[in-house]
Amino acid sequence: MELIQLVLLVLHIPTLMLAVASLYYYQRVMRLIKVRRGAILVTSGIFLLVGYVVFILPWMAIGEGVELMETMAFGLIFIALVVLLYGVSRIYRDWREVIR
Amino acid sequence: MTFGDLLIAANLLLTLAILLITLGVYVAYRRTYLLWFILSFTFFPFLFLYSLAWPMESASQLGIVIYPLSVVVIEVGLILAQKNLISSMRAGHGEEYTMLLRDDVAVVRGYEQLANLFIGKIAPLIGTASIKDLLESRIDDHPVLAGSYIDVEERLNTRALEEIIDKVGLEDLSLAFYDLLEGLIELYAAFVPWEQAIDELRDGVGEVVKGNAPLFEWVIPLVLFRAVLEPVLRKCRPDHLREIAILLNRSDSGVHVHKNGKLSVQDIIRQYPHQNRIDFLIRKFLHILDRTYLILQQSMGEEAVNSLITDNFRKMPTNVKERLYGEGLVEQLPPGILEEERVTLMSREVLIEELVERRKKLEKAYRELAEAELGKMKTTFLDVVAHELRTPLTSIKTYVELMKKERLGSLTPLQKEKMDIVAKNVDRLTGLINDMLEIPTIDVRELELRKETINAREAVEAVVADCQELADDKGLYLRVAVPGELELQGDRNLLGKAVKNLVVNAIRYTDRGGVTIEGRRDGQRVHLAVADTGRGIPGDELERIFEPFYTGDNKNGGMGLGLSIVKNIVEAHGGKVWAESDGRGSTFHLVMPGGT
Repeated sequence: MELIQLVLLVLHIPTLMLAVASLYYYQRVMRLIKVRRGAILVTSGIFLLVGYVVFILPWMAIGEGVELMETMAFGLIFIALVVLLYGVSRIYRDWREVIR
Repeated sequence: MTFGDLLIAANLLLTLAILLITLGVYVAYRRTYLLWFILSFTFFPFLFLYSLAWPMESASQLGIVIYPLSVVVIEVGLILAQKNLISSMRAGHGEEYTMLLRDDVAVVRGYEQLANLFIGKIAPLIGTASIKDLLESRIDDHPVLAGSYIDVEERLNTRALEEIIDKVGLEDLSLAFYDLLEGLIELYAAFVPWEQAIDELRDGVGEVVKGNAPLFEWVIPLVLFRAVLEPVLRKCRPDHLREIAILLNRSDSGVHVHKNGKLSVQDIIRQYPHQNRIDFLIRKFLHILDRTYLILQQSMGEEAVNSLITDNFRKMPTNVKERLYGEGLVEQLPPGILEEERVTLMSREVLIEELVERRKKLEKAYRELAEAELGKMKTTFLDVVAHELRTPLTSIKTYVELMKKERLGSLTPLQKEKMDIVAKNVDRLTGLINDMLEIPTIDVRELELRKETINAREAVEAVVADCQELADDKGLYLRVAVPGELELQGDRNLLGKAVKNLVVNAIRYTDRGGVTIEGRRDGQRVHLAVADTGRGIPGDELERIFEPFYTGDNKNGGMGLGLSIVKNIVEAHGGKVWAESDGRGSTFHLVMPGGT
């Protein structure tokens, strides 16, 4: 195993732990709030996660990037950001109505 | 530039757009958790800027380490945002409740707030021991309350309910809190007049539902029944209260009436439908009011009941009133309750319709009043005329007759001639006064009683016999062409008078030829026509000749009342009269109801 792979594996341990913690708080939040536009945000989050995994996986597996996978990762992240942009715009419009 | 570079650039632009919008939300709403969300989002552009500035192929392999570190920063930002959101929700009031809290959580928070309002008033009076006992007993009855407690700040804490809220329905929660609130109100009412406890409940509900819309439909039965109806029941006579209790407690009314007039409304919550709850509640309230209204009226009098209920509605907090009135409650209440609000709440169109209708009624009433007044004045005037004119005329006529017969001394021929003229004019004046008195004396209701079947030919011949001398004096003929079987329905004297007026009128305005009276049946009606060979009537006068005192170009004396009397009589019988003239004479048509 190359050094870079080892470093990446070690760095992803806190990433995973924090993800679990974030999931715990997410559940607690969901117990309290009405989920408005929640499906949009979740969809965006899934695309972001998959995009990130696709991007980082070649580095973790073989120790270097694969151009095709990088492009695919950026494509997935592009979709995620389009969905997220739509989600936050809807939230902004909803809240603006309430704030008025 | 590769396709991957283009995607990175696009992602960068999208990230900036997202950042701008989230910053806009933060600026508008200013909540800490939003700031953390924004901070976590800022790492997306950092990530992609890094990719652009330091391409992978030229970078040291260790450069890739920045990616998991960025993800860590993003996740930390998200966790902080979520934690902040939770603490905001826990402590927050106002908009956050309205916007973000789940409906069931909001309802529980609202009940808790309402309960704490009473606890805050009871605790300084008797401490919290009794309140804790009450809560324990309610937990025994309603296990959903398990985990709730009175904390060190002497406030009810129901946070434990949030853990099980998914497994419990709002109906069970509401029933539990209703029982708890009922107990708290009882405790409070032990130290203050019950009216004050009800006032506190009403104001408390108004305050709590202000920032908690989902709570409204669950808590409003308390206000509607306990703060509006219960105070009325409490003032009812005991026997009537017993009657109401029997009536409501034995039916599925949804309310339970206690001996002292207290109302329990838990059953209404049990009957709540899934939708249109406020509508259901209003219908329930109106139904119960309808069933008890008569007994309440017997007990306290209609005015007192209406006034009490109206006062209780008016005491409700504005936000509660607005919502209930907006659901159409006021329009459905019995007349006498919230009358002013009913008018105020009418839509503009309905209000205008109502005003137009009322104006029409007022105008009609005014017209009838004016007509009645005018009729009374006319009668009075004519009575005066009859007395003031006829009396001296009778005296003049008597003395003229005596003088003509030379009972008061002998007269010269010239004096006799002049006396004849005086006598003739006195007769004419008497006739005119009699005509004037005829005009208003036709009362339609009286006329109905005097109606009879009259043979038209006989009636016309009687008139002709009366007028024959007058016609002979002018050398005119009088012809009758009325079938013997033709019958009229009406007052014999009045119809005779009408026909006579027409015939006399025709003779008066005819110098050559004569007058013909024809008659024929026209369906259910009888058509009489009085035709003369006189000078005729100008076209523009044909309509006006029936107006009282209209004489036109009159060279034959008369006050212009004859035809007016005819019109009066004919119309009172439901008939019609009109005149036609072609320059070679006139014809007066008279259509009357036929005899049966």
